[in-house]
Amino acid sequence: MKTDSTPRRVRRGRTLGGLVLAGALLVAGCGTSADDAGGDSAQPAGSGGPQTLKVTTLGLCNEISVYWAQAKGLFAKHGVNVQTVKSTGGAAGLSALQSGDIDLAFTNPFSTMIAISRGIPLQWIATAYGTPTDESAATNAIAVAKDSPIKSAKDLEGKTIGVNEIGGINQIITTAWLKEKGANPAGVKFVALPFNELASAVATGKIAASQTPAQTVDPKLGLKTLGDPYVVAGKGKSLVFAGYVTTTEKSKTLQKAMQGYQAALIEADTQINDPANKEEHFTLAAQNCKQDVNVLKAIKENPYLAEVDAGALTQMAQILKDQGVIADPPAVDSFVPAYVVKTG
Amino acid sequence: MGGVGRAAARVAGAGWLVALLLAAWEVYARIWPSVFFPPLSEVLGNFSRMWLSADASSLFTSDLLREQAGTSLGRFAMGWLLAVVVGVTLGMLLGRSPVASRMYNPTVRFFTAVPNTMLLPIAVQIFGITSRMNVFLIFLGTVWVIIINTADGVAGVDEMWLRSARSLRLSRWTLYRSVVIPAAMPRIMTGLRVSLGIGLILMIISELYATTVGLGFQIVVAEKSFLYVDMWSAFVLVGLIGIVLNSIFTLVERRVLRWQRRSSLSDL
Repeated sequence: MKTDSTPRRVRRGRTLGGLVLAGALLVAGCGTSADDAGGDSAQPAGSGGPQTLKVTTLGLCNEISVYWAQAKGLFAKHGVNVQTVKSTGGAAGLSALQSGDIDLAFTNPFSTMIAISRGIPLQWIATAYGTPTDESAATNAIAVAKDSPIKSAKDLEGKTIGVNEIGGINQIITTAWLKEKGANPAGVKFVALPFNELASAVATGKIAASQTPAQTVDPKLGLKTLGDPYVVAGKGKSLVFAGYVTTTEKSKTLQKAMQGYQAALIEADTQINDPANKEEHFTLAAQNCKQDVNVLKAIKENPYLAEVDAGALTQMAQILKDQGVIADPPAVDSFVPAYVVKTG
Repeated sequence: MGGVGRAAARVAGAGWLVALLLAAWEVYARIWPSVFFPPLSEVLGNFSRMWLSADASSLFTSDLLREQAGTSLGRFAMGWLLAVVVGVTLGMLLGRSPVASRMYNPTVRFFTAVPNTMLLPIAVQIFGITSRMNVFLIFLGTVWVIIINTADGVAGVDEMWLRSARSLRLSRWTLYRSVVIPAAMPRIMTGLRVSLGIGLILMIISELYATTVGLGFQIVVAEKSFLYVDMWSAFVLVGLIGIVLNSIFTLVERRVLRWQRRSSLSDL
């Protein structure tokens, strides 16, 4: 008679290993089924009452349009219920979007277009805010030390520039700025540092320059600006800085809610841009982004416009192509649904 | 069964779970396709294009591999070797001196509990955007486990052995070289093995920001560019580096502990 000579301990281990693997596959399989169904974050269409959209937020002061629409009941007025979900960044928001946990990700057009070109089906639903067209309204800066020998973009060749995210919108725009100013971007290195360390890293000489919010260029820290790269990269036109993106599937199944979301933001922006509401909009922004209201009043704001500027997106797609980030950027019509209100 | 057969059976016994998991990866990714989780075959194909070359003069490695992995491994080697020297020396002192142990043990335990990755911004402020920052973090993350294991190993040397050595009137150097260090070596090697894994993790984490080159930097670039096949290829490379370093360590461990007839961790 043939007997199994394998020790019992080993056999038990094999059985356990098999069970663990089977369990893992089962869990993974179940997760995928939920993903395929588009997640359960939004109420199904036609179930009555406002549809709920889960939207990522970075908690920035610039996200005032959402704070305003929420506080003034504009989302409810346009038939949508909005829940904000904290996210760590644009790319993280897009990943959460794919998992089905959220319905709209707060991100930037470059990340969106790059993701689409890699095969991730996304649709741009609404813009959050744009970029200034004039240096007098600069909201960003290329910061260098006040006593630095660096006087122009060309002087940055061979140097290191700090940005908040490798491959992010600020690196792409700074690269465009270098090119527009006659410098060779290939000779420049980029390093990622948290926003709150960018200015001090320049001031202490650890990096030659950084792309940073204009308000951090404090002369008391020994810093000065070489200009707003967004103004230069825009070539006189306002670019799209950030907005709200969903999956192609949800842009169809939740069309009514998406339209309501953009309509609420458009109405919110009209009220925010009204000088009569200036005091209230700064107070509301300060409450949500945990900033001093007087600090907010002192700094310049990006223009708030929820309509989608197709011309600006096309211009940004060209920047990606020029920099070789993607060879064939998606056409704006392919990732902005027809029902979205557009300009440009 | 011959020696070759036994070796083959041992490899098969050790590798069946890995093979099964890799097969499950391929099947899962084929059944439920996602850009975030590409099939293993696609990752391996990309791995070959990204990290290997047909040039024998460069040992079939690509320029990217030599530049990125070379930089990362250089940082790892400096940080870890520094930790070995400092950790074993301090561990010896703490293990042999009850006074020193009482004085410094709380400090060692404190730093063991501190998550070293939280020190990344501080390391950047001190060392700037240089490889010294990465070396420092790898050193700081690995040295404590070496100190603790060395100190425990030295403190646990059989008192009878020490009394016998003293009765032979051995010099202090000979006592350490011939009795204390060999007796403590199994614990020291345990500490080194654990620190090796920690060091590799810190090598990647310390390159996730405030660097412009390295495998961790490559992973970030791939992730931010939504190049998930590149990201998985880098993961596979890091895993293979871990296996190779661990195998080298096992050989060294067997050589160092050859006098001791015991099964090492890798034989479990």
